[in-house]
Order: sequence, then structure tokens, then C-alpha cells
Amino acid sequence: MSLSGLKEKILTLEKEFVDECDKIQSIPDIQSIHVKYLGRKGQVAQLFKSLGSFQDADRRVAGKELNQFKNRIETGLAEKKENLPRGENKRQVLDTTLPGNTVPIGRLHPITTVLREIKSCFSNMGFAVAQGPEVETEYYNFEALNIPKGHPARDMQDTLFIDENIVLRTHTSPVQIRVMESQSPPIRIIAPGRCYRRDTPDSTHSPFFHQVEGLCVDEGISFSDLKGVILVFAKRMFGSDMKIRFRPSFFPFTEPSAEYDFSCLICRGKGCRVCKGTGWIEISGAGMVNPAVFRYVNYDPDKYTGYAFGMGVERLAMLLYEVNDIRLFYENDIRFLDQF
Amino acid sequence: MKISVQWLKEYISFKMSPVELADRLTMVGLEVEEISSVKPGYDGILVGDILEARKHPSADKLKVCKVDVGDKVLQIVCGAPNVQEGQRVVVATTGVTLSENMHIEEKIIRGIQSEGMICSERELGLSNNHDGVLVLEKKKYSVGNTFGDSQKSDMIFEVNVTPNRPDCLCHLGIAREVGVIVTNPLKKPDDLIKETDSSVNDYVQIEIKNPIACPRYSVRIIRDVKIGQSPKWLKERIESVGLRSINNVVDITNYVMYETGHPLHAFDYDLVQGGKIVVRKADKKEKFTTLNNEEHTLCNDDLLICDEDRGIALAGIMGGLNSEVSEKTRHILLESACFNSLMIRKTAKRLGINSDASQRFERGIDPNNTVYAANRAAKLIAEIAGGHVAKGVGDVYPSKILPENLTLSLRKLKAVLGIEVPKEKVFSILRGLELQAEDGDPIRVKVPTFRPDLKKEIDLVEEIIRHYGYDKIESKVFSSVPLSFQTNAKQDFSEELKNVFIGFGFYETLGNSLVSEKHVSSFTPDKKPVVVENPLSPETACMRTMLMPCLLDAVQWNKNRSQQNLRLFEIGQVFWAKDKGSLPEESLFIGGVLSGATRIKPFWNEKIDFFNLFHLKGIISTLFEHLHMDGYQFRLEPHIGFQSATCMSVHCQDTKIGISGEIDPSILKKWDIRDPVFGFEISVDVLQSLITRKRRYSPIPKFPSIDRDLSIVVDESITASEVEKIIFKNAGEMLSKLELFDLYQGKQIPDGKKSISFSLTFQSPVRTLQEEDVDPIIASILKTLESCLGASLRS
Repeated sequence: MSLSGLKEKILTLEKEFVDECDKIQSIPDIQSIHVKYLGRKGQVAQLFKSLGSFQDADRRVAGKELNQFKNRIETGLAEKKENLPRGENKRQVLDTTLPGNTVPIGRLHPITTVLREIKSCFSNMGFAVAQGPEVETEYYNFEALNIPKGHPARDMQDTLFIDENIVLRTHTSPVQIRVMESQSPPIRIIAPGRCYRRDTPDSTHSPFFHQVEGLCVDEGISFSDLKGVILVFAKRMFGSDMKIRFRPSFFPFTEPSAEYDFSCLICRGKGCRVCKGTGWIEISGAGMVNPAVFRYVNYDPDKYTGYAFGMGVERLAMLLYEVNDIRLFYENDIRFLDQF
Repeated sequence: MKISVQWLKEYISFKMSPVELADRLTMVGLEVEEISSVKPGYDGILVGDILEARKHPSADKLKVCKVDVGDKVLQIVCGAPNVQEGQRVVVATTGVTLSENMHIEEKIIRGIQSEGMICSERELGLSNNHDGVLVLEKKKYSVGNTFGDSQKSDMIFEVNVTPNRPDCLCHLGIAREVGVIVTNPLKKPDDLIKETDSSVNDYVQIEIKNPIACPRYSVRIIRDVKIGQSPKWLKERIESVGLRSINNVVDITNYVMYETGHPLHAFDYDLVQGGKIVVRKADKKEKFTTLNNEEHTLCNDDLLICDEDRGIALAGIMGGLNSEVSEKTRHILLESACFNSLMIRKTAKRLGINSDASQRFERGIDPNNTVYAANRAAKLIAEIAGGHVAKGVGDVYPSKILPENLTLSLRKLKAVLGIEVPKEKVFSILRGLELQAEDGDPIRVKVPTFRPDLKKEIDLVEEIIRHYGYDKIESKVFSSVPLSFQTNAKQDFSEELKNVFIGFGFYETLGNSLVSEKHVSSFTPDKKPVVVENPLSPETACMRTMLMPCLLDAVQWNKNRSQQNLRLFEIGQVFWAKDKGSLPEESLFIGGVLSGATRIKPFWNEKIDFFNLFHLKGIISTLFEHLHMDGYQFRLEPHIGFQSATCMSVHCQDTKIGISGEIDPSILKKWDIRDPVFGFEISVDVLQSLITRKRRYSPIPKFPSIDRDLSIVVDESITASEVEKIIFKNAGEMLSKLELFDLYQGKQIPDGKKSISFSLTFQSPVRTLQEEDVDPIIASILKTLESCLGASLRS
């Protein structure tokens, strides 16, 4: 074969190759073209074999031509392969409705989630988080909170006793005392934690539950500040249309004392069955720290004023998620936990 | 406490609807929890018109009337002097029982048939008026209607009176609060009594042995009473506040208690021996039977009212069976006393008695109100039960208790509330509450003895704002907050652990920290639990010493409800008792359990795999890696409640921080769990103390690494870590990673041997390694493995 004959042959083959390339639909199509041109006995290999009959000078040129041709086929096929539509790499059609390989997801307990929201809300308002023991002395749980022995207010909470002087704390308020004993004003803390009462479990009572206590003590703190903090909390937790209402009440460790209500979450204050038509739902208690409490921790009641408030975490969670039975929180049924 | 709106109206006038009144009371701190309506039964008592009133043919004082009661006209013989044609009256028809001995039947009176009775006020129980029949206003009543429908219907409030307000445990007290709300004066009922000439002192001598326990004891004597049923109005009042009508005298004492707040007790005078009242402490083990026929064994702290030689009432709590008023009673000794609230509370609690009287005495009774209450009751007894009241009050009051003098500064008021309350408002509130205020700076306030809760200036501040209204206080939403760098590392760490575990696909649970003794001993028989003295049930008698019982509760709950595949964790306190009298040790732990299939949802391309010990170990290890905690170890070490063959203690830097392993099936049986459960429990406090939060960057290697895989055949008995140790020792600094990726036992290798495959990565921080660098290291590793462990390279 002459050099020109070879060039012509390459031209013919290349035209044929281009035509075949246009018809490529799938990987096997590419593979069969690959075999035809570049296989061990393919067209290109045969042309290489014919090089033996060329003269030295021509062979170098012919070899170069052939190599270039081979490269063009390789790149052409590679391009084709890349441009093949995905999914057609396999002959069968993919069932994309088969479920994917999921990763197990865990869930935070809804009480934790609500507690985190409360903490974040108050930490934005400059409150630090304090903690105290769940098993408390009678002194911290009652006495230093101005609930002396024999005071009828002790009946307001049915207490679980370890012995005469040690109780399971009935509220998180003892943390107030522990914090004030160890720090001087200004104080601005919340104390989340578990509390216990001798209540038979039913849909609204649990012998243990979570409370968040708030305490702020400084010079010049007034009831106005308390209302402000509670208002911000209500709006942040339940929406900016929330309103708050304070009603007089009685707690030995605050004076004046109040119960605070939020506008009903269901009817947003219009009045419905849940709020018994009042438009309000009771949240918890609050008030100005009773000067008698300051005397227990050696704060000067003439210099400092402060406010304290409490809230039941379960109560807020029940309102937020419309949970109608407090016991659901402690059954730990994963079908329940999965919903939060 | 129940409050009747009609009853309230006797002491205060107001024009609000009951619903509005309830709302206003709630807003001054007397929360009305429930409103219910009462319609007293007047079945068969009808409104009628007298069509005709003729003289009785054979009796001068009687008249024969034709009365239209709507659907029929009745013929009634009536003896009332005022009965006349054209009157609108109340007719009791046949079959009605008006009182004990007044059943209305058809009868012949002096030869004329009578089909009912035209009633007087007394017969209807409305009052004591028996001068003639009750004549109704025609505008208000229509013929044929049941009498009293609208007239007597009442609303009853259930008021939640906080324990600081003994003064509000009665209608006069609530009426006083209403008076402040509507700015109307309180109408106190009068206590004027017609007394006989004989003096109370002729009948009774009073001696108080312990004036601290009993600051005051007052007595009235009412002679020649007739015990019987109460009139209808009294019965209704008593029943409207939830009491049971007993007899006229007892009902009156209850009525006056609900009127004035002062508990009274009526003794049968003839049963009070020797005409003597002695107030003394009970003797140790003294027996006493209260009028509900329960015998109590008293102690030295209890206060007893005695006659000449025996106890006749448990002071302030309940009267005795031996001196109770009965049908036979002729003379009444009426007690109106004041007792020490602490003592009453102690006795009532110890004996488990909660009476209307004890509730009030516990909260504090006004010592200066005993005479008024006694007079009110004596007056009513005389009117209703027809007795004669002996002259004077037997009254022992060793040291008079005087009103407290307080001051209130308007500056303080503003400082606490954040707003200014107008001075005239302050005064009108104080006046309404019967707190005598004298203008000045500060204002001087005299607190009456019925308000024992007002002891300090701040208490007056509350009184002002209670009536002025919290709604008038602005919500201050700006503040100058001191900058703080305080964080709570402990809280933050436990929250981080929660995040890690939900990342591992765990569900967070919250268990009851109160568990049964049985559950405690399943895991920690050696640790003394904190035991509750007064548990609700044996199932909740101990504080948990470990989280595992709570986690198993959750496993049981879910498995019983076909939730088989579980990964659960809890972070919570556990409690260990210390010396008696000191607070227990409280420690924060994280515990977790795995059970069932590794996937909660199956995957079609993968076969179901069940949790085993190494899943558990893997999770704990991953936690440590997350925390960048090096040098952790699992050591075979038995622990009660865990299978001894698989139980591993978890160590970090040679400190034991927890345990892990498969829960002992015999323990699981107690929870009715049949599937294997793998659990761990780690001290959060100790873990936190061991980790270093400070991280420092070390450069990422620039030069490529060389990987080599080695499959080593060793005796079964040789542990992976023994092999790893030798590899580490011989590999030198260039070994950057060693990972075990396969374990094989079977046909391809001899019996009693196993093949462990490791992947080794070599890397240098300063140059690109060549195969020749690694070859001698591998050779040295293999040589040492062979000489130390008899290991060979798997061919």
C-alpha cells in the first residue's frame, strides 16, 4: 500500500466512523465501535500491520498519520461516552420510586426542645443559667423562702420527704436562695430543673415535672421590669400578638405576688372552650422578691429590689404542641417522641 | 370556698352580674374557679289569686277561699287575719312537705273541705314573720308559676382563697373586698340581743390553763331552746355553701361561721359537767371521741376543751360526742374562741382531720371578733330556736391583742411597682379594707387584727396594687443589662451530648427518677438509695441510683406496643444516699440502650442486621472520637445487671467513667423484655472533667501516603489489641493510621486460628515516602509478630 492509499483509506474509515458515531445510543454501541476500530484485530490494528511494507521514510509519516487517526477515534468515543444521557448507561430503566437508604434520625425530647427555647429567650435578655440539687434541705425549699414550719402555705404543695429536714424540691425556687447566697447583686438568672410533688398522676399531674425559675435582683428593679420580661417571653414563645395579664395571688417568697396569664393560644384571646371563654390561659406565678427573703441571704432590702417568676415546662410544651396528657411526656413512646 | 351571691348581697350592694363580679374578684386575688347556679326546689308551691274569700260558716276566725292556681281553682280554708279577695298569694298544694310537721293534705276543717294552704313567710321558711299570709306584688309574679323560680335563684362561686387570707373565708370578708371594688360601704349585720336577767356567770366558769394556746375564750349561754329543723331560708343558705343541715342550732353556728369567718361550737349545756370550761393541753395518750364517732389518741401538743372532769371538744377542730347538741338539748353553751394557729394545724395534720373550723383556725382567727360572732349566733338561736340568752358574755382574754401599726411610703410604693398610684386612690383602698390610714410621710396605717397577713410595708404595697390593678403597670421592655461572660459549662456539655446522640439516631427519653426498690437493687445492690418517707406507691419509693431502670421502662413500654427497634438515651441525675441527715450525692449521667434491628426503617438493598455488643462499643467509641478523647479503653469487668461475659467497664485515661454491655436476661425478665438489650451508662461529670476543649491546629500532611494491608493469622486466643500493640511498637513514627478491617475464621485457615486484617497508612511530614521506606518496617513488624505471638502472614 502506498502512503496516499493509506491516507485515502483513513479518510474513508473516518467518514464511516463519524456516521456510526452519530448513531450511538448506549455504552454497548460505543463498545462495538471501539472493537471495530481499536480492537486487537480492528481496522486500525490492521493498518498498523501494513506499515511493514512501507519504506523507512514513508513509514514514519504513515505511522504518524495512523497514530493521529487512532487518537481521533479515542477522543471521539470518549466524548460520545461522556455525552450519553445519564441513566442510559444501564440498559434497564431505574425505579426511582424505590426508597432511599436512609440514615437513622434521633429526636430530642419535646421538654428539652422547649427548655432550650426558654433558655435561649432568657439568655438573650441577659439571664445566666443556674442549677441546684433536686434533693433539697427543708431550709432552702421552704424556710429561706419565707415558708416557715407550720405555715399553711406548705400545704400548697404536697411534698415528698426523705426525712424531716430533707425533701424532694417542690419547685426550683430554692436555687434563688443558693444563688443569692453565693453572689451579690446584680443577679439575673434562670434555673431550669426537675421538681417533685406528691401528686397522683393524671392527665394534668405528674409526681415529677420541670420548672424554670427566674430571678433578677438589682437596685431600682420594679414590677414594671417583671412585666416587660414576661411580655417579651410570651411574644417570643407564642407570637408577637400575645398579650399578658397579671392577677394578684399569694406566694410567701414574693410580695406583691401574681399569677400571670397569656392570651389563649387557641382563640388568640377571643374566648373559647379551652380558656373557658375568658380569652386567657394561666401560665404561672411571679412577683417582687419578698424583703423577708432578702433578709435570709443578707441582702439589704432597703437597697435592692428584685423580681422572681416561675413557669412549668410541661405546661408550656402542652400548650405549644397541643398535648392533652402530661403522662405522654414520660412514657417515652417513640411514636410520640417522633412527632417533635 | 363556696360563696353565695345572694348571701353576699345582704352585706354589700352592687349592680354587677355574677360573671362580672367573679371576674373582678379574680382580679383582686380572689380567684373564682367555678360559677354554678342554684334553684331551690319549690315543687308544688304555686302562685295563685284569691278569687273569693268568704267567712267560714262555723268558725269566726277562718275564711273559705277560692284560689286560682292557673290550671284549676282550689278551695282552701285559711285562718290568717290578713287574707282578702284579690290578693296574689303563695299556695302549698296537696302532697307538699313544708317542714317536719307540716305535710299538706286534703282535709276537712270544721266541715269544709280544704285542698291546700296559703302560706306565711315563716311557713315558706323565708323569715320568721307569721303575722299573716305572704302577699305578692302582682308585677313580679304570675298566677300558676312555681313560686320562687326567679326570686330565690342563686349563683355560687367556688373561690380559691389563698392561705394568707383567713379573713376571706366568709361572706363578710368577701363582701368587704367587693366593697372596695364598687366603693360601697359594708353593711354589717347587727348583734343586738334581748338578754334575760340571769347572768352568764351564774352558769359557767371559764379557765384557760395555757393562754398561748388559747388567747381568748368567749361564751354565751342560751337557755330553753327547742332543737328542731332549720327554717327553709337557713337550710338553703347552709346547703348553698355545700354544708349539710343538721339542726337549727348547729346550722346557726355554721351560718355564722360562713358569715363572720369565726368558727363556733355549741355544747349541750346539761352535758358540760360542773358548769366549767377548762382549756388545757391533752395528757399523753389521752383518748377522745369526736362527734363523728372517731376515737383519737391525743398527745401533749393537743389542746382540749374540758368540763369539770373530762374533755368535751378537740379545740378548734371538732366537738366531742359526749357533749353534742341533740334533740334532747335544752340549754346551749356557745363557744366562740381563738386558738393558736400552729397548734391547731399540728394536731389537725397529725390526726388527719380537716374541718371547716380547723381550716380557719390554722390560718388565723381574729381574736377581737369572738364576741361579735357569739352575739350573732345567740341572737339567731333566740329567734329561731326560741331560747333566752343569759346576760353578758363569759369572756376570758388574758392579754388583748392590739392592731399592728405599719407605715407606707409612697416612694417605696413607686419603687416596687414602677408606677405612681394617686394618693387619694391609696387612701380609698386602705379605707375600704378597713385599714385606718393617717396622712403623712410615710402614711401611718393601723392594721385590724382580722388581717394577720399584713405585717410589713411591702404587704401594704400588695394591698394597694391588688385593688389598683396590675394592668395599670407598664411593661418595661428596655433595660440596661450588665454584660456577662458567665456560661454554664455543665449545662452546655450535657446539651452537646444530647446533640451527639440524636446525631447517632437515638431518641431522647425522660424517665421518672422515682423508681421501685426492686429496680434499684437490680443494678446497684451495693449503693444505698435515697428512700422517700411518704411515697405515693412502692413503685416510686426510691430515687434512681442509675438511669438503666428508667431506660428499661421505656424499652418495655415500646416493645409492648410493637416498637421493636430502639435506640434510646437519657441524660439525668442519679442519687446515692450519704449519711443520714445530709443531702445525697447527685450526679449527672448519660445512659443509652440499643435493641432490635440496627435500622428503624429497613432498606431493600441490605439484609436486616441486629444490634450486638460491637454496635454498642462503636457508639461509645464514636462519642469519644467526637470529643477528641484519646486513650479510652473497654475492660472486661462484671457489673450487676449486665451479662458477665460481655460487661465492660469504660475507661478514659485510666479513670473508670462508666459501664457497657448486654443486659442480663434474668434482669430483663423483670421488665418482661425478651429481646437482647445492650446498654451503657457514663458519668457526664467525670467525662467532662477529662476532656480538653482547647483544640490546636496541626498542619495537614502535604506528602502522599503509602497504604499496606496485612492479614495476620494468629491463635484464636490472641486479642486484636495484642497484635495492634506490636504493630505500633515496630512501625515507628511514620505509621499514621492503623485500622482493623476484617476478621476471618474458617476453612481457608487452620483450626484454632483466626485471621485479622489491618490496613496501615504510612506518611512523612517532610517527604514523599517510597516503597523501599516501608518494606523494612513491614518486615520488622512481621518478624516481631511471629516471635512474640507466633503469627504468620496469611497467604
